[in-house]
Amino acid sequence: MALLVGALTLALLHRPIFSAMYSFLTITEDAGPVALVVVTGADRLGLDRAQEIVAGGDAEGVLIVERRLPRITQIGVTPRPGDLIRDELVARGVSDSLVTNFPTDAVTNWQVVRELDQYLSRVAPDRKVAMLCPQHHGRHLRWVIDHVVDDARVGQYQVRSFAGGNFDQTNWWANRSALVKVAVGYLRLFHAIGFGEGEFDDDNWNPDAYQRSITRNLATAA
Amino acid sequence: MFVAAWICRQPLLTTLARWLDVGTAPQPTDYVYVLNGDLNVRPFIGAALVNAGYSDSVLLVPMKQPPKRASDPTPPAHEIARQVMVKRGVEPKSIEVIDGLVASTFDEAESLRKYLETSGKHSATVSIVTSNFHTRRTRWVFRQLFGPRSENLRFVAAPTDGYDATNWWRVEDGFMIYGTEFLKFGFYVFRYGHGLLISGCAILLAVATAMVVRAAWSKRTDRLGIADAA
Repeated sequence: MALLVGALTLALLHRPIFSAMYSFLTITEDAGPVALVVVTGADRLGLDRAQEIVAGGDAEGVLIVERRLPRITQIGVTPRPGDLIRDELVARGVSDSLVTNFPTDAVTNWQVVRELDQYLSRVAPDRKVAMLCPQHHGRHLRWVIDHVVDDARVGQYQVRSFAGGNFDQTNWWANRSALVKVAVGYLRLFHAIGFGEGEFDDDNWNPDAYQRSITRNLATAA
Repeated sequence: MFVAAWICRQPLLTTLARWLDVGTAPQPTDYVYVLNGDLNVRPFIGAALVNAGYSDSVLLVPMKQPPKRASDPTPPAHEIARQVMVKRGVEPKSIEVIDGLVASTFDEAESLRKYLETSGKHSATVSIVTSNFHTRRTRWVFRQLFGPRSENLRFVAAPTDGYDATNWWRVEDGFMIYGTEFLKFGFYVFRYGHGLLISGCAILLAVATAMVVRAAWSKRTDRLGIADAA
């Protein structure tokens, strides 16, 4: 009976329920002009938003926080993500002189915010920045900032989120990739609340060691 | 129960993650089929299998990708995988890109099945390379599509950088990857398995049970009413 009532409620009220679920993940703090827009990924919509903010005079420039280079970049198969983001911004009309690349060894979002905070306290200690993220990561990013950045400096940070392109809070449940993205948004938020920064095992997998071990195994089997 | 689950979380969560990993030790096969995704590990495993002598040929399939600017120099995913393997010492002529434009594991299985059928290699053995947490869903999908011929398939698990089955819930990316994998596995069983049939049967059974209980209840009430009246 309870199941039936639940199913009926969901059928009748799914729109407001799902919209509220999405809105809960979303935070946008457009609180006036900032010194820098911070970009941490190559999301096309995020780059569009960065360009809009700079073109609208809401920011003086863009800071690209680069993460640790992926293995495929290290071996020279793909270009540096930071260079790609820079080129994409310039292609959108952002002046090259307004874009700054900040290479870091960060892997997780927590490490990115920590590196950014150290950079800002060195380079622009009193200036405000706006961090860009997809809408469904807004609350997570705010949580990370609040727990990484010193209370005295947390006011320097704004979270500005951008919509998902082909989905938003009114229709995300009808889009398969949006379903996964919203699930990921909740999982990241739950993890941040439940485990904080958690751990990160920096001892990465070694392809050469793997190849040696399977070569040995084949030789032993033969 | 919650306290017990919390105390035993380490073995419980490790067991859950290991349940997803059905990868086996590599064995010599006719082909290595590297699935799309995690380009920082899977193509490296494919290359290692060829370099170590487990196979002579690698198969790749193109993936549907969002539109990008013409100026973006990043190659498509299958091309990145191909270049990684060439960099790792695999001969370019050993790598074949098969037909298909895939968006899911199901599509990848379908592309391989069509390739083996059209090329008359029904009994070819294939090592399917994918991430360790993805091997159970992959095996399930390939078994659905290949039927008894799935005996010729081997599933080789690629590791993940930064976390493994023993600590995935402590690492944000691990929590997200494993969490979504459990959801996806449930979705696949429902969507491509007998989920709809099972759900239909469950609803029918629930309705039938409710009707029987209701009939029995009203019969009992009538009997009691008659007895009271008497």
